[in-house]
Amino acid sequence: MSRSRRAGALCLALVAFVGTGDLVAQEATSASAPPMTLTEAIRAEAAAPLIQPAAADRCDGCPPRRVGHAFLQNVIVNAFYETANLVRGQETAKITPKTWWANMKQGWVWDLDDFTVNQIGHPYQGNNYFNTGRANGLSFWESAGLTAFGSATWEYFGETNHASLNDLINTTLGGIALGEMFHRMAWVVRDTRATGRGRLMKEIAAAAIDPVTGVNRFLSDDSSRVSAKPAEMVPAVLTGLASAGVLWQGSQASAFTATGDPFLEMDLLYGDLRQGRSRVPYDAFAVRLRFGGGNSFSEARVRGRLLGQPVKGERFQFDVLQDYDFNQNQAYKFGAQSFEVNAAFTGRVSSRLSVSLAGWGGLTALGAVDSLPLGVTEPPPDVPAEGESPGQGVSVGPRYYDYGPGSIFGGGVTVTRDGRVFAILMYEGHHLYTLDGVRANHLLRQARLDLLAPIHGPLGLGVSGEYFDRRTFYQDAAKTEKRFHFPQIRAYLTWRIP
Amino acid sequence: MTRGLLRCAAFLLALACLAPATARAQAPADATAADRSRLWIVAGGAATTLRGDCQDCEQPGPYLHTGSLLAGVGRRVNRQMDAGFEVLWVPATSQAGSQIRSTFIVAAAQFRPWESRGFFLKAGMGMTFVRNWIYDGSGLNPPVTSKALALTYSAGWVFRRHERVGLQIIGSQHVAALGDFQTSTAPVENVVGNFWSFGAAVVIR
Repeated sequence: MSRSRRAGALCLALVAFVGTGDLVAQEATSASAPPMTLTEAIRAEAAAPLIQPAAADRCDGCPPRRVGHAFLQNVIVNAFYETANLVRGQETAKITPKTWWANMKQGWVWDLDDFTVNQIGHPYQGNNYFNTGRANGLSFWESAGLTAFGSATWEYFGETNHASLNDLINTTLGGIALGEMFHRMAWVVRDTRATGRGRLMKEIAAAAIDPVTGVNRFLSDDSSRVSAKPAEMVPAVLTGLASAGVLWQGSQASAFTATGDPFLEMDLLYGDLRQGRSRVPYDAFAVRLRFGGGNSFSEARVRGRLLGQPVKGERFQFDVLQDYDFNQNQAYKFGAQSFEVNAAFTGRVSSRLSVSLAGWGGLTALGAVDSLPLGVTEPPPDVPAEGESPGQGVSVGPRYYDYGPGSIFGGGVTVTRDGRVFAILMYEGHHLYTLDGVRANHLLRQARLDLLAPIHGPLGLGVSGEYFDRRTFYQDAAKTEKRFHFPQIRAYLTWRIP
Repeated sequence: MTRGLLRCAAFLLALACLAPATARAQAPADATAADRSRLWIVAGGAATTLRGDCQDCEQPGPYLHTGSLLAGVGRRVNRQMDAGFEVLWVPATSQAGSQIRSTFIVAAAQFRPWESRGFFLKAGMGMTFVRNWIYDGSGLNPPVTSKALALTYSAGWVFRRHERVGLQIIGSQHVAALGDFQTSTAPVENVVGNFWSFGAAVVIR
């Protein structure tokens, strides 16, 4: 690739990075070939003979292992965010050696920033630190360490405000969960055997999903080199369900609103969480994203498998999962980084009908939930006095949400007919013990029933009922307890992938 | 900081300066019995400086200087990664005369960026148990125990990496996020304690 073309491609990748890149579905490689599912296409691509083998790397298509580069690019990611904050005019970006020393002398504190910044922004930033490792051939666990390094250096040296403990945990654990998920999804999008414009567009789309790996590939010309995909980046199966429709929310009195809110929800299953012995982190994961429905972004949920072990053949399965949660609804605003053990059983009821039962429980390393001190009914608007605002996303407090560790628990039933899911019943609870914020214990619960019916081909119809319940147990002398709950129902069209 | 601690810190710093030369002198390649062992145990001591702070405090607490004990046990995951548990015990006396014993118990992962060198990075998460004997002017009251979320990260250098018994120097920061902390005057909410340590430990494989 010529220098100018490479520079152009790099520019496009960077533009894609700052823009909103959509996941581009894998195309069939030949018009005359029989139609394949997405999973079959990816497997066929990985198994096909190489056109141009390359012997320099550990495996063809794998990035070479470069620890020094990984650390350097980790620092570059910090420099990128620092520059972006400076350009946006954030007061906290005006760093000097004095602010570094002040931060080091102070140590860690809880910060007062916006909920969304702390629960989405920082995990996303952590994903970039994580992928400085993955893009340079480091393993999952090594990249996890690099994420902590990137986060700690950012907290001490990237901002003038004191190093934030909640940011360190959210950036590191959230960054690992989002980072490996994005890294693997970008590899799904890439077609490393293709050439020409189609190849370039897929590389750009992949760079939008995992910018660090994408930029590295453009810089090293791997983006145009024909090679195999790294074997561990090829999922055993890949399925998804996109849903779009209308959502009606209830209130504390359970009356539904007359007008509904549009929403879009996407579920993706990479690999099979319900079977297989696994020692490769994130060889299977589940992702759910929901937009709309009362909030512009209402739910993000990642469940990544760290360990998997079948018991008694394939009927029982134990998994250790890493969880990332973000949920905004009428009853609560919640975000968490957790680890859970999931036990599942799959059995056949008839030749066409099968049922999966699952139960899970685990620990939340750090969770955040909105809260109000006793006597306060509405959080006042966060409007700092003129000239005192430190910039976007940075608040001077008070903060109307709590931080603390806790637990996660739940269970679910999935009914499948002819290999196609038609009913899912799920219950999940979260408990948080406040370490920073209003002295309280929070119990958040959600129950959900989905009924799905096929219409034609991948097109289907669905209805869902959800119920959110939240109890806050204040640790005041009167042991005050407050409860919020509301139902919501949804009707939607679905599109099944593949 | 006392003169003794300063001397200790200077000695450890001098050891650290010698580290690159030591590392180069190490025998390459041939795996020793210690290299084949996957289990390692660490025990040592450190000079620790700690300070408590909270969001609503007008001023952070004073720096307290003390000694601490460090212990750990773990298993080698691969040539560059170890995983295990670490304990740090920090006794301290506040300016008001209260005695505070902080015990960190964390699950930790250790990473060596360069296989051939002794440099390592470590991070962990777990719990801290803080026992606080409050001094009320006449004497110490029965202890109050607080549980806290604990976080730690550290960097260090291991000498004699291929021997059964080695030595490591380590600089670390431990953080304890307490919900409440009882003082001689009143309970304080949303307290975070920062502990900076610099010390040495024996490594047994």
